[in-house]
Parts: sequence; C-alpha cells; structure tokens
Amino acid sequence: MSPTQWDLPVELCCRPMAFVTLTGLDVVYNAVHRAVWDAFCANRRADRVPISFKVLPGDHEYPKCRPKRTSYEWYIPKGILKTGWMNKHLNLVPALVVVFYELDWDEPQWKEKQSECATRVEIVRQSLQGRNTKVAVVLIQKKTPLPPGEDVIASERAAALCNACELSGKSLFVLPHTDHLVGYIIRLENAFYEHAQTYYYTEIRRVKSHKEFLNKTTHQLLFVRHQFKIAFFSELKQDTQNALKNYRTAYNLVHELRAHETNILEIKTMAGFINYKICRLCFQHNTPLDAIAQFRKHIDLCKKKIGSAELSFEHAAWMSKQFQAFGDLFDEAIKLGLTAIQTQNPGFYYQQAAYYAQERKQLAKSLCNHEASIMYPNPDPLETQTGVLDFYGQRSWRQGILSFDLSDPEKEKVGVLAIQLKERNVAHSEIIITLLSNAVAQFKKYKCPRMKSHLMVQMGEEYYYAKDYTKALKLLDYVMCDYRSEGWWTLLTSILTTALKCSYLMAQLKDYITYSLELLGRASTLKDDQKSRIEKNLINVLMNESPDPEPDCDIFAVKTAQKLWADRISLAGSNIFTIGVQDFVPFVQCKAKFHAPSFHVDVPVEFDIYLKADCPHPIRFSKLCVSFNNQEYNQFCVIEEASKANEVLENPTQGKMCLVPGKTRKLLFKFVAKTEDVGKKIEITSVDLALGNETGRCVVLNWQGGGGDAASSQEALQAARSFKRRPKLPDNEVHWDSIIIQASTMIISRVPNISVHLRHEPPALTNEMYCLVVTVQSHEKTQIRDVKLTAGLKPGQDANLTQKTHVTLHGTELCDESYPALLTDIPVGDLHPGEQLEKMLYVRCGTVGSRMFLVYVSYLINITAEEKEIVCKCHKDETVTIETVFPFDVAVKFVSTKFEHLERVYADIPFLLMTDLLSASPWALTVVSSELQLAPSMTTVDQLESQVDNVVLQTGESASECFCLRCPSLGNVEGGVATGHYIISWKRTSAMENIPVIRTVITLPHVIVENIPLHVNADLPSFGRVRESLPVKYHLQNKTDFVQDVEISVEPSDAFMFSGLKQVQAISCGVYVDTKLRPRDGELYLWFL
Amino acid sequence: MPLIPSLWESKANRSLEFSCLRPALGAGAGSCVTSGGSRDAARAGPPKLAVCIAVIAKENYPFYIRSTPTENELKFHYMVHTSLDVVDEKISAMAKALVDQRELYLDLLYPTEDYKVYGYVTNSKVKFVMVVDSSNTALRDNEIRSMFRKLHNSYTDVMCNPFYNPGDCIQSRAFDNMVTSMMIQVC
Repeated sequence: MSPTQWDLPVELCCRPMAFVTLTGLDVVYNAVHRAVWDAFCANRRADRVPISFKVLPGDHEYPKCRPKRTSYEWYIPKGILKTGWMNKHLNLVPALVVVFYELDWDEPQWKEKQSECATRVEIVRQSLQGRNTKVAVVLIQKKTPLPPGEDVIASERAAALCNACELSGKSLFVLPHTDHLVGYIIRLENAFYEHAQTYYYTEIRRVKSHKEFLNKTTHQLLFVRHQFKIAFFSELKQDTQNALKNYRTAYNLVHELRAHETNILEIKTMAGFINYKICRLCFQHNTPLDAIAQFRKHIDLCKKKIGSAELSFEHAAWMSKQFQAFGDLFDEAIKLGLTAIQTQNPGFYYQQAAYYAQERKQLAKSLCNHEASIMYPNPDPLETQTGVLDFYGQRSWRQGILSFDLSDPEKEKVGVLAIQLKERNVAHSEIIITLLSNAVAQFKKYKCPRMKSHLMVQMGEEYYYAKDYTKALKLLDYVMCDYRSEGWWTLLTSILTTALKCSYLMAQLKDYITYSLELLGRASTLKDDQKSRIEKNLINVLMNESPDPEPDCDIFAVKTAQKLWADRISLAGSNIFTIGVQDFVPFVQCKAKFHAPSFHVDVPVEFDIYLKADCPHPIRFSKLCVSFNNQEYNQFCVIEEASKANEVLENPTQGKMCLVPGKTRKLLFKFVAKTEDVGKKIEITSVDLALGNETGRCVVLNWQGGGGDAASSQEALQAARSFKRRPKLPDNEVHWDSIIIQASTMIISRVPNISVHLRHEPPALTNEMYCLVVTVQSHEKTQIRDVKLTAGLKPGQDANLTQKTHVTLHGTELCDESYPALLTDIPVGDLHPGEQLEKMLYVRCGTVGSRMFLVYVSYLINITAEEKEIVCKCHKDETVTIETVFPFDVAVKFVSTKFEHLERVYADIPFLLMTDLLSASPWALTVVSSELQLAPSMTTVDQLESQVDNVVLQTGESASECFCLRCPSLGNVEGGVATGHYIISWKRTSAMENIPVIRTVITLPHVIVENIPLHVNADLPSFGRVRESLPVKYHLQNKTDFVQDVEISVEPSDAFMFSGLKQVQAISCGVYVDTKLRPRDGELYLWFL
Repeated sequence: MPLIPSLWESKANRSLEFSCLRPALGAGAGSCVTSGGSRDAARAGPPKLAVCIAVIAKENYPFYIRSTPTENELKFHYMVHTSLDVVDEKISAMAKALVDQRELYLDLLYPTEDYKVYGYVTNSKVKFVMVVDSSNTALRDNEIRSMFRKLHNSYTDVMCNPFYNPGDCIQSRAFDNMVTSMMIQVC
C-alpha cells in the first residue's frame, strides 16, 4: 500500500466526460490529419461540448466485454466496486468510435475505396464485440461539398457507402478539408456528443435492467454498485441532476449494508467516494448548503465506524482525508465564485482534518510501537498479483471474501502487522503541518486572527514533535506576542514551555535565556517547583554550565542537546546577551522615578530605580546602569557589585543588588545637572540590569525609558482604576503598584537671591520722558558677577505699542523713533553681598493706554553643589503695567472782540482766539511757555506773546490765553481756513532740571470766514461821567464794491440826552479801499446831559 | 476583612434582614456561603450542560475561565480564545445596528466537531462564552439564553460588590457556584 492510500483516486475526482476515440488518423506523418486532430483537442474552451478524445489505431483492442449474465441467481458479488471500473469507462471503453477515411465523392476508384472503408468499420466493430459503442465514419474530402440535393453522385454514393458499412445515414459525416476546418470540427463534435449521450443512455438502461434480477439478501452489494454505475453514467452523459439523485440513493444504500469489522473499510471507502461525488455536484449546482449538510450527515454516520481497534489509526486517516477532500472542494468552489463567511469556510475542514491527522499520529504511536526485532512479514501480505486491489477498500490478503468470520486468523495477524509497520513510516507531522498551514491560509482570509494564531501554535508544536526546532521556534515566537498582548497567560505559558524546550534542544543561548526569564516572571502560570527548576537552570547557564534537560523531551534529542551545550561552553565568543524587555514580561520589573518633575540646577537631581523580582528565589544582579538622553550623566548612575560567579545565589539578602522575591528594592541615584541643561529635559532613555558577569555569561536586561515591559501598561491602568486600599507597609517599603514611572525631569535655573524694585510715578504722560528707577539689591552670600539688565516694553504685546514706545537710559535728551522699545543686556557690573545699585530708565510713550514693562536682571554666581563648583546663571524679572494719559486738555474757541461766541469769523474784522489749557495730570505740570504759530491766512492784530510762561498747573487747574487775530478776505474756502498751531512747552514740575522740555503741538481748528457788506464799529469810551458828554463814534464801512444806500437812524435811550443828527443820508463810494484812510461814512456825535 | 465580601456574594444572605446579618457576621463566612450555595442548587436551575464557561474582559483578556476538569484545560482556553474572533466580528456588525435594538445574546459562535460555542456580550463589552458538548442535541436556544442571563445576573452581583476591584479576575464563591450549577457534573 502506498502512503497515498487514503487519497481519493483521480478518476473519482475528475469531471467525467464522454469518451470518444478517433481512428484512421495519422497524426504523426499526415499534416491534414494532424490539423484535424489539433482542431479537436487544442485550445478547447469551456463552451465546447465535454468530450475527451483519444486517437487510436483502427485495429485497437478495446477491453473485452464479459459474456452477458442471464441469471443472477447463483451470482455472489465479491465487492462493491472494482478498482478499474471508473477508469475503464473514462479512458478505455469509448461511447463512440469514429473512423476517419479520405474519400471524395468523385473518387475514380470508388468501388475499391468503398470496400476498404467498410473493412475498417468492420475491424472496429469486431473489437467492440458485445458493447453498445457506436461507430461513425467521417470522410475527409479535398473538395467543398455542394449543397445537399444538388450533387446527385454524392447522395447515391453516400447511400451505397452506408449500406456497405452497415451504417445509418446519421453516422456518416463529411469533413471537407478547407479553410473552415474548426467550424466543421465543432459541428462534427456536436454530432459525436449526441451519439455519446445516446450510448450512455443505453448503458444506464442496461444497468437498470439488471435490477429486477437482484434480491436483497445476496445482492446487497450489487444494489450499491449498480446505483453508483447509473450515477456515473449520468455524469458522463452530463446529466448532473440525475447523477446527484442516483448518488444520493447509492449513498443511502451503502449505509444499509451490513457492516462488520471485515468490510467496514470497504463500506467507508465507498461511502467516502459517493459522498465526495455528492458534495462535488452540490457545489457545482451552487447549493453549498446542501453540500455542507451532506458532509455533516456523512461524518455523523461514519464517525463511529472505527472498525478494527488494532487499525484504528486507519479510521483517523480516513476521517482526516474526508475533511481535507471537503475542504478542497469548498475552496475550489470559492475560487469559482462562491462566497464563504467567517464561521463557514474551508479552514474549519482543514483544521478538523489536521485534528484527525493528529489523532492518527497518536493512535499510530500507541499501536505501532513494535520492537525493532519484529521484521516486516515475508511474503508481503499487502502485495497482490496485479499490484492493485480488485475492489476498493478491501484487504489484500482476503480479497473477495465476504464471510464475516476470519477464515485464517494467522494470515489476518500478519496482515495487520504489515499495515502497522507501514504506518510507522508515515511522516505524520508533515501531513499535519500541511493541513494546518492550509487552515491558516483560510483563516487569514476570513478574519480569524486568533484562530490563525492557535493553528500556528499547533504547527509549531508539530514541528517540535517532528524535531524541526528551528521552524517550531520561529512559529511560536511569531504568535507569542498575540497572546501576550491580550493577556492570556495560561496559553502564553504553554507556548513558552514548548519554546523553552526547543531552545534547550538546540542549545540556543539567547532564546533559552529569554524564555526562562519570562517563564519565571509574573505572566507565567507555572507552579513554583517548575519556576525553581528553571531559575536553577538559568543560573547554571549564566555560570557557563549546561542546564538540566527540560522534562518530557525525547531522550535522543536530549543527548544531542547535551553535546551541543558542552560545545557552547568550550566555544569562545560573545557571552553577553542584551535582551530588550519591552516585548515580553521578564521576572524582574523596573521602574524609574525622578523625585520631582523639575530640579533647580544648583541642587542634585535625584531619582529612584525600583526593582522587583518575581522569581521563586532571591537573585543577585551584577550591575545596573541608567542611560540618559544626555549621555554625560550615564557615568554617575552605575551600580556595580563585584561578585564571583558562584555568588549569584549566595548571601542572598546582602548587598544592594540582591533582590528578594516580592520585595521592592529602591536604589537612589543623584547627580548634578550641567548648567548647559538648564531649561532642558533630562530623560532616562534606558535602564540596563546585568545578571551574571563577564567571566561566565552575562544577560543585560534593557528597559526602554523608565522601565515597564509588555504587561506593565495594562497593570498600571488596572492599578490606577483600583480603589483597593493597600495594607500599610513599613516606612522604607513601598507598594509596587503605587509607583508611577517618571522618566523625565526638567532642569530649571537656580532661584535668584536678589531683589528688584521699581520706583516711578504713574501714570505716564504722553510723550513725556517717564522715569523708571530700577533698584537691584543682592542678597547672595557671595559676589555676583556679570549682572545684566534687560528692560523695556515686554515683548508679545500689540505691535503698534512697539512703534510708539521708546526706552533710553539717558533722560537728558528726548528720544525719537530710532530708540528701541526694549533695551537688552545692559551690563551693570558686579555686586557684592548686600550691595545695591540703581539704574534710571526713561520711557517715552507716544500714545495713551496701558503697557507692560519688563525688567529682567540676570547674573552669574559660583555655587558648590555636591562638592562640585558650578557657575549658575540666575535671573529675576519684574513686570509692571503703566498707564499713559494725556497731560492736559486744550480747548480753543473763537469770540468776537466783545467776547461773544462766534460760529464764524468775518473777513477783515478782528476777532479773538482763546485757548484754555486744563491740566489732566495727577502731578503738577509746569508750562514753560506757549507759542502760537499762525497759518499764512491769518494775521495778528497785536503781539503774540505768551501769557502763560512758567505757570504751574495743579490737577484740574487751567491756563487760558487770548489772541486778537484777523482774517483777510479770501473768498469762499470750503471747510474753513486753517488757523495755525498752538505749541505748548511743558514738563512735570517735579522733573529734574536736566530733563528736557516737551513740546506739545496742537493744531488749531479751521474757521469759516464770511464776507459781510456793511460793518458797523462803535467806538465807545470805556466809561462816561454823569453830566458830561460822552462822545460815541460809529464807523460804518461799506465792504462791497458798489455804492450802497444806507439809512441810519439813532434811537436814544431814556438814560441819555441826545445831540447831533438824527437821520443821515449817506452815499457810499463805489470803490472800497481802506476804511480808515478813506472813510466814506457818516459820523454821529451824541452828547450826554 | 474577607468576611464581608463573601457575605455580599451570597444572594441568600443579601435578602436577609440586617438583624439577621449580625450573627451571620460572627458565624463566619464559610458557613454562610455554603448555605447560600446549597439553596441555589436545590432550585431546578439551568440545565447542567456546559463543559466550559468563560468571562472575557472588554480588552479580551480572561476574567474567569472554568472547564470540566476531566479534559485538557488548555484546549478550552484555546477554544474560548479563538471564539473571540467571531465575537469581535459580531460586535462590530452589531455596532452598526441601532443601539436600542441591541441583542446581548450572540447565538452560536461556531460549531466544532465535538463542541458548540455560544457567546453573549454585555453592554460594557464583557463577553461570556459557553462551550457545550455537540452531542447534546436536545439543548434548545432558549435554555442557552436563560443560562447566559443567569450568568449575567451573577456577574452583575460580582460587579456590585464594593470590594471587587474592576478589572481583576473574578474570585467569588457565589459566581463559582453559579457556574458549577451549569457545568456538566463529573462523577
């Protein structure tokens, strides 16, 4: 028996197609025949009829037909289905034999040719004696035939030929060898197909006709056989619906057979075949649910039909094959467009096939453990004369024996032994792994990552059993992280245990150590005794010795491994292994915590490293080093404990680096930060903990950042959520869960010990040189150097403020646009302890509003920290918000010479300009002087002297001035006439002498000038005396260019006596020149009595 | 300290009046729980069919997992773990459905040759997985549902225990008893 005994035969798995043989074609030497053959068989597309063609010589011997049985009465079948039957009807017995013959209708030697053709047909008929196979003749002709009925000779000769060959007219074909060969061939094969279907139909009828002769007692097997044959012929006929129906009947019949230990294999084999056919057809008919239902039924029916207990592995193998075959069918259907789902996909069937394959392995292992002395029986009971079995599923040493009793128990024993010994040579693991990997591929497709992982674990374990440890480790290592990340510790531990075995057997040091570390850790669910054993082994390995073998390992493999370990010891090379812990859960936990989120540069940076071991015994580490983002600090944070290799376990409780299981060990580190790092973050980039020493082997556990491994983030979350109260511990101990990793800290500058005071008199007045006195006093114990002052507008405010604010140290001159808003790093010099210095700043604010001013003092000081002299840069800043206000309000008004308010002024008529300066400053102001700058359009009537020189104004006081002006006639000016500017020079009364005077320019309002035709000016004395005459002079002026008639009347009041003209008729001249020089007016004199 | 939590676990005790609770405190936890447990068992209770019952956290790690001691424990662990594939898929399909139409029972997750795996998910995404022997064809959907419901109730009681730390594995005798009452009895 071959190892592929359980594979389904090819003829079962293929799609049956009508078998047609072509004779009389010389495809080797005749080009025309070759072309015909090629047209038949080359590039057959799916739309061509399903026929399998074969070229055979005309005298080919077809399988002999057995003589017809007239009665079944005495016939006892020897088995269900002969092994050769399917192949016979697929490839040996044709449905149709076609005789090709080159003959044209106008052949001159027609008679001879006709009889030769008839002979050929006869030979074919001879060899098909007793079969219903059809025969057809195809004439290969050189000429294109005429349309039917036109060629009289053709129809005559055709009839004659049919007669000679004993053919019906339907079986004679003409194949003109012309351009349209393929077209003709397709028509031909369609005709062949019809013939073939008729043949298979008659075959079905023939088989059915046997039925009536059968009886249920002796011919049970025949019922199955005939039903199967009918179904198979239906398939050949391409009648899949009937085929399915018949297969189903056959399947039911198989299970009706009386099963016994002797024939159970045969029954199962046939059931498997028929089931395969049914499922295949169901998938083909696009009814996958029917296929699945049939398969389930099949499995349920056959699951318990184990048969001989000694050969129970055969049942497992058969079951495995059933699942695999169904998986293949399912997968094939999917490739043809079927959609599978997560819970129903081929993967499950492959997986189940793998389980049965595993079971087969287990059973084989227990049943086939014969001693080496037992030889394979001779003669081989599994050999048959023909090399194959007569019937499917029978035993070679008792073929065709239907009796349920074992006629020859001895022979049976030998046969079973032979099968068992053969089974021993089967590469079970290979089969299992193939099936598992098939399943993995499927589950990957259908979104089952965990199932995939599980199968990969099984593959890994199978590789382990197959002693392929490298592959096993690769697979196990790959899936470990999935289980770790989801926290399935039981499963992880199981995987790790296998992985540890693999690494032991290969003497893979690093892997061995890594897995040991994790198996000792808190994620491992191993019992303490196991952990102790692993810990002991780990320490042995670190002391450069061989570990004890892992339990349950193959003895031979262990021997090889021990040799490998011995080699490792003698082998020189790198014995330091650095293992990153972020990807697994080692037995030591580490947390780093800075004491504070920030440190001043003048105090040492302090942090703790917390370590906790979860292994069963105390363990001593050799070295701990901490690395920082600034590597210069690394040197300060190393603890090394010189110990001999053999001391790892001795004196367990002594020394800093010895960890007692379950106890948290705190290690304090401190170092002085560099002054360059002020303002920077110091980060712990890694913590390295070394186990073992350089003389033996050394493992360096490397934690990234401030500690934590694959499981700790989840644990931290858990601890944070927890509201469990932790029991009190002694003062020097802490709860591991309560430690929160703090892996970075900020270095900040030293706290300054100086005072900065600002003295000023707010608010500031617009444009004034505002004085800000900065007082810096040192309270340091030592001299401070390099004191620098930065002062001015605080950056980051409105950009316009920067334009309108100017700072200077020199108050004696007014600052302009070129001065900056912020003065930086003004060196001030050194300061002794207690010394104080003052600096005056002048600020000029161009606009009102509030501003923030910054005063920033920095200095250097030498400090001793941890016996180290460092230069610290300290700084202190002060900010102040200063409001800027207008110093005064200026009001201007125009009045007439009689101090009457004027809306507008009259051309050439004098008027008064009155200014009113109201102090708004809370501080006294000194108006140094004022000045009126007239616009060209204005003229003054008298002197423009300042009337407010050196006037001191307190808050709310005002200073007024009055100027008499005149505006010459200018015609009508839109918007009025510019008056000029009023300039006030002022300063704070309190300001020092050398502070410059501020000139504030006020633009005077425009005034509307109007021309008037007549101007009357009364010239009155300022006072009169009683009973004395009071001369009153009225000037009348004509301001127009024309002569005006004016009538003047004077109406005296009761208080005055009146003299002079009461009524004057005046005629003014036409040209107006100057009223004073050329008066053309009337004058009146009045006398008072 | 362990006295009070164990009292909390027992349903029977919770229904007791406060005055009865006092002597129970003194009597000790052990006796209370056994009395509660036996009372539970005395009721007809759910069918004893499960071969493995597991409670899985939202983050998919196991809170609680118990299987019949006669068989390979690891096998059930793997079975429960792989069934989470289907649970995840069903939950994500469910997320698309309307919230109020959410059904906690997830039905049969997947059948294996020998077992049927059923799932149930609470609103807080805690999953219950139950493995039942395939040969038990008499088992009806309703029974499975009611088993899950009981399990859910019992789980809720565990969560209500103020001494239970959320996220920890379930170590409650009342819950244990409830699970035991659903498991196939091993003689």
